[in-house]
Amino acid sequence: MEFAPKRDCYQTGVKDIVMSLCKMKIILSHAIFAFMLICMSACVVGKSKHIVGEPFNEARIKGIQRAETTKQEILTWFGPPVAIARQGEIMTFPPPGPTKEGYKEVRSETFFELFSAKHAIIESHIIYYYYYPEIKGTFVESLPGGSSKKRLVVSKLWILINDTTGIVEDHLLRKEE
Amino acid sequence: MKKAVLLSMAIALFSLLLGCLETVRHFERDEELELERLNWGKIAILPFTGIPAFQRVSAELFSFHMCKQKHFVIIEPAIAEIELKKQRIELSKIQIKIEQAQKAGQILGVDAVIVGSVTIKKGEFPNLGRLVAGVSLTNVSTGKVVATSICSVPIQRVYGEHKVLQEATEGVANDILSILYELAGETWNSPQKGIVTKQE
Repeated sequence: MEFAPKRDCYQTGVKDIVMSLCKMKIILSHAIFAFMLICMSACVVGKSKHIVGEPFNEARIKGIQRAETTKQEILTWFGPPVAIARQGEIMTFPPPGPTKEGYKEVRSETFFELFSAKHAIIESHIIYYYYYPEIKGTFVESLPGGSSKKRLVVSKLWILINDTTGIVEDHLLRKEE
Repeated sequence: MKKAVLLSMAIALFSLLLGCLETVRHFERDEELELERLNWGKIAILPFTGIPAFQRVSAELFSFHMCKQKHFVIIEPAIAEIELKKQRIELSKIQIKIEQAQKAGQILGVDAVIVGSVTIKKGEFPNLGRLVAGVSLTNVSTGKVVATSICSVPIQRVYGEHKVLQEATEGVANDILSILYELAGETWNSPQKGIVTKQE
């Protein structure tokens, strides 16, 4: 008679352990499933990625007419330029790219050389410089890490303006890697 | 009781955060000025001072907004700079004093000059600061500052600094335009919305 309660107690103990192990297993599997869900939700697969700003409006670029389009129209269409070049100056502007740390110094002649073959550059000429950086390629980004084959493609737009007349004289669009 | 304390703390923190993120404009004008007595025709915008990366762009943007009005002839900063260089006058790129602005205005043959600057006030949080654009309108004949406007916009890296620059320069331009329109006997309806304006 004395054994019966002890056996019951033993059986209940084993049962409890088995039950708690089962519960732990369920909790663990739920936790793994939740972790996978989080990882998957933060996982991005893509072919192209924009960094900052809006891409160039191609129709607007086509709309730039030599000796017709005004500086006011350019500012309305494209917003503020990244830099404005004037002869004999060193320009300071943030470099294109994902880090965007610090500023880059560039001689304004570097920009004027782009137009000097076709135009006689005078003192009142200025260049509005715009860029649009974009990461191109296949990439996978997820919480634990990511893999990618990416390259930085920068669309650059230079617009030559005569500041005395406020009229656009030429423009140039290039994609550089 | 605890819940109420926590809720009030959360509200205070949220309002503090909102305060850090809102655009603030501060506009002051000479109250004794009798605008109807001024007979201005030409106004020159001098090159902006401050952060080198933004000097030219901010001056150009400001000038773009000022040219929206048709009552006054605006001499743009680049043109003013060329004309002043011809007279062998080089303006400071750090700060232009009122006397220098007045002298530049006399050389350019204008009735008023606008001096502007763009600076960045670093915030306590990483990557969060404020871009501050400030302009002052000076009467060339008296050398007195007629109005000043400061617009401080929080920098959010997602939008890029140039978007912030656009907002700040538009803010100060609207204040100066309001004075110019008043001079012309009209009212300037600022297109900017959602901006806190502190007026003194």
